[in-house]
Amino acid sequence: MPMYYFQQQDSTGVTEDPEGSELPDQLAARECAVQSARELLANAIRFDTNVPDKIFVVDEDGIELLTVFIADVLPNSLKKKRR
Amino acid sequence: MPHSKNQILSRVSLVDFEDLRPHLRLVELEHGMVIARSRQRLHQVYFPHSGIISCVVELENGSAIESGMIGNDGVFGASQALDGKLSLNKVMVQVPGQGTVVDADHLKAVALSSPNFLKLLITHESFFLGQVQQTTACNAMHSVEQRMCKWLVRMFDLAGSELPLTQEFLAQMMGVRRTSVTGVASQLQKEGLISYRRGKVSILNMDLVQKRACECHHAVRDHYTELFGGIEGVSSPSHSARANLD
Repeated sequence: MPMYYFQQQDSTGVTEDPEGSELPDQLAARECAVQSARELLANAIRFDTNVPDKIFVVDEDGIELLTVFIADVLPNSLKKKRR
Repeated sequence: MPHSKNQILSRVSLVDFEDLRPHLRLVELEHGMVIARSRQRLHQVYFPHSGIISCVVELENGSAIESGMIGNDGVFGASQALDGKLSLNKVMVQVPGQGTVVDADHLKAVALSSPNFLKLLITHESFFLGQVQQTTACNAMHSVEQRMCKWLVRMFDLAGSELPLTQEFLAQMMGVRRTSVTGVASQLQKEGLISYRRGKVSILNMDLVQKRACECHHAVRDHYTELFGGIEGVSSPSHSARANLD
C-alpha cells in the first residue's frame, strides 16, 4: 500500500508528518485527513489550543495530493454563520 | 537475584518465595508480543523486571485504547490465575524488557496456602483497578497534550528516558489520531522538552514534561504508595521505579 504523509499548516509554518501512514488509496487518505481535522478542531475548541489551518497530504516524493481545510469540517450551520 | 527486580516479587516473604522459586522462569518480553487476547485463557503470570506491558481495549470499529500499564512495579495475570484464567482484554508488550513468569496453577496454589501472598496479590489488583479508573477519568477529561505528557512521565518511570515508540503506536495507546500526537510532539520538541526521531522518543526535560502533564500519574503513584507503603530508598514518586531499574 502507498504511504501518505499528513502535514499540518498554520500561519507560523508546517508541522511535518515524520512517519506517514500506509493506506489503500487517496480516498482513504482523504477520509483520514477529514477525521484528523475533526479531532484537531474538537480538541482545539474544548481545550482552547492552537489548530492548524489545513492538513495537506503528500506522497513519498513530497508531491501534494489533496488538502482538507480545518474550517471545512465545521457543521454546515456554523459555516454559514462564520461569514 | 533477578526475580526481585520486580517490586511485587521483592515483597513476597522468604517462605512464600521458596514455594514459588522452583516454578519461576526468566523470559524476554519482546516488543509487540501478545501476552493475552480478549476472552482467552491465561496460563502464565507475568512479573516484569523492565519494559512495559499494556492492557488494551479493542473496539468494534477497529480502534483501541490503553486502559492500564504494568511495569516492574506490578504483575499481570494474578487475578486471572486465581479465578478462571480468563483475560477480558488484549494484553501486549509495549516496551521490550525482561520478566519472571510463573504458571498460573502454581501461583494459585501458593496464594491459597499463604494469606500474606494472597493479600499482596489482592493489594496489587486494587492498585491496578485504581489505575484503570484514573485512566478512564483522564481519557474523558484531559487534553491530548496533558495525557501525552502523563504517558511520557509514566513511561520514564518504567523504562527510562529513551523510549522506543512510534507516534502511531502512541496515538493508538491514547485512543487518538496520529495527527493529534504529531502536533503535540512537534510543539514539545520545539520547546526542547522531548526529541523525536522516527521510532524513538527521548525526554530531554523531565521537569517541564511533568508540569505539562495532568495530575493522573501522580495520583496513581500516590495510590501505590498508600497501598504498598512506598518504594525503598526513593523519595520522588516519579523517579521511583527508575531507581530500582538502575
